[in-house]
Amino acid sequence: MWKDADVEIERLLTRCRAGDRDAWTKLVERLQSTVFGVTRRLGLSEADAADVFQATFIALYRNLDRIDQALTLPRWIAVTATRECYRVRRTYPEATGSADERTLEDTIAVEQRSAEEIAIESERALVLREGLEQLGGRCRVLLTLLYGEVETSYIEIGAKLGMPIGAIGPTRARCLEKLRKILEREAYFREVDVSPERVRTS
Amino acid sequence: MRPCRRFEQALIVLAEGGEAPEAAAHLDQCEGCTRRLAEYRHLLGEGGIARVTQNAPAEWIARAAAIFPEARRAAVLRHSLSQVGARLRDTDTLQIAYEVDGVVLRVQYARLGTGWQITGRVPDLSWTVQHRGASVPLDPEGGFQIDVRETADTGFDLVLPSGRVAIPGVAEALGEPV
Ligand SMILES: [Zn+2]
Repeated sequence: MWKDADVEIERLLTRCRAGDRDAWTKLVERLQSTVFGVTRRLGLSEADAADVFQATFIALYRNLDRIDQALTLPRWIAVTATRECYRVRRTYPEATGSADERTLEDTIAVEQRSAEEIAIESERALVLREGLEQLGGRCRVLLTLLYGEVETSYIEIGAKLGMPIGAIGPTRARCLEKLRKILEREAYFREVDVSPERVRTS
Repeated sequence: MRPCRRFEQALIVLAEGGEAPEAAAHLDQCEGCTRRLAEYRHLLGEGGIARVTQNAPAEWIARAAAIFPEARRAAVLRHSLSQVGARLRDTDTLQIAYEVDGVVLRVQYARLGTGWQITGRVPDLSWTVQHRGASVPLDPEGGFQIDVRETADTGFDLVLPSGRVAIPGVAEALGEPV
């Protein structure tokens, strides 16, 4: 599953182990949004998130020789980041009641479940990110501007991409469909709920 | 199930939260269009493109990139080919002497199929030899052996108490093409 991304990550891991600093920089660039996403998802303050971010990559560096399957790396990094978040916050997001009322077993169970969920989400997010990379060029920029975190108007997009405003609509449809096809090949939509009831009501 | 061609654009409009009454009414009877809408909604929703295009601040990324120390490279002191004026591609065995932290490390290379057998002995048992990230076993005298399938794979690392030292691949050490 998700072969292209895995092959590239495996290649980078091998080069990191051989002491290649450039490969490490590339690996950090590839995984940064995963770690950042986890800190956002768990609602850390900026200062805490910065600490978690650094601690997670230090852990990765120390464990470079022990991560032997590329497939597990995105998941590993998400789980590690989640644990670091918990360590920093010392509170648990999904628990009911205060920390004092929870047993240690409850706390651990909540933490593990949440870490696993976040890991799966992060792994998928990375596939989507790689899909956008693969899409490349204007399509990637256009979709990021249109549907990214910061909403951008057609006028601004037209100016940025040097594209007539009338062309943005048809182009965005073509780009979105291209991205969808890439992701379909990677089995990305397998876990999207497509039951008609769900789709109609959302 | 494929979606209907005439609704392809309208499905994107619906996913974007726009109005497309004809397509919306059609969903009840069409699995293909329903599925496609779900996929678009996912891409345009919270967990989709918006989430994955979030980047950490550039200074965090730079700080994480700086975790990786620059590996020192062992210097080549001399090699056996220079004495006979031979090229690597015409050679079956050779020896290269490297300087590592003031100590001379002699490494032997012998052709092995398409690749090489690399042997040597570390002068100090606190040193570790690593090839492709995995530790290479040392015998009680510090001897090691690494078998590789191609010339490009002949580089390895020494992990010393003072840090990591890279032993270059054989072609690189001799300044020849791989
Ligand atoms: Zn239809």
